[in-house]
Amino acid sequence: MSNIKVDEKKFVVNLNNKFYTSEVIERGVKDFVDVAKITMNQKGEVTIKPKDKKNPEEIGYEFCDYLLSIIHGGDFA
Amino acid sequence: MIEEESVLDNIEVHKNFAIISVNPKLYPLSVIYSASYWLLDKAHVIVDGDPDTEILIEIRPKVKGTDLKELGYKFNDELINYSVYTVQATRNKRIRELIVENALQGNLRNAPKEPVFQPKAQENDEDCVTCTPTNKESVLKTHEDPENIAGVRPARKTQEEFKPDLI
Repeated sequence: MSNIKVDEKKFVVNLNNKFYTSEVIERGVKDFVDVAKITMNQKGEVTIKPKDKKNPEEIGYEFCDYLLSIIHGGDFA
Repeated sequence: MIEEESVLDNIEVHKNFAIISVNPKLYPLSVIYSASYWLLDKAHVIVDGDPDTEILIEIRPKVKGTDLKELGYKFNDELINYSVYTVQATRNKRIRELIVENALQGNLRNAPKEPVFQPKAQENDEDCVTCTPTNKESVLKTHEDPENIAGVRPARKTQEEFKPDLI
């Protein structure tokens, strides 16, 4: 559904921009800067490469959860 | 007895994840976000779909072996739970406002007629003790007090007189 691709080094997810706006993602990227290198292309694909050899799948899903908590708790809903 | 699947079933179970379909005309987006947020303890959640027609919630349990169907049903329960809360909060809104208004008016009724402390707002006022000097230099002034208006008590013993006591 959400087009998730995971390999040994990275976690790629295509997030729906109707729910996850660029402001929300930017805020998440800012807060995850110590944990992972996160990039987003023009199609809205978010690539998460964890630092310190952490599990990309775990960090990727944590990032998605964090975005949801930003939407729920902030002014982005 | 054969257990029949509900025709209203909105949970699609896959191997490692489940997709819950929600009608946004029944549940507002804020309620869906609240229920999803509640689920974050138990599962990873990704929201997808169309906010006008059908919202899809993808859940992946954090603990292996979790019953996905059961988790989906709990999510549905939370949707109803947050909906009821939202409806009740909307109904009680005016009452809550009146209670707060009344409490604040009560405070105003009991307040003194004139303010206890009237700060001098003039920044250049020479006599103003509380004002922060801005344009003028801050200078500490001392005044003679021969009649001891300040009520300063003289030391009972001088420093020299104290010394024998300490030794």
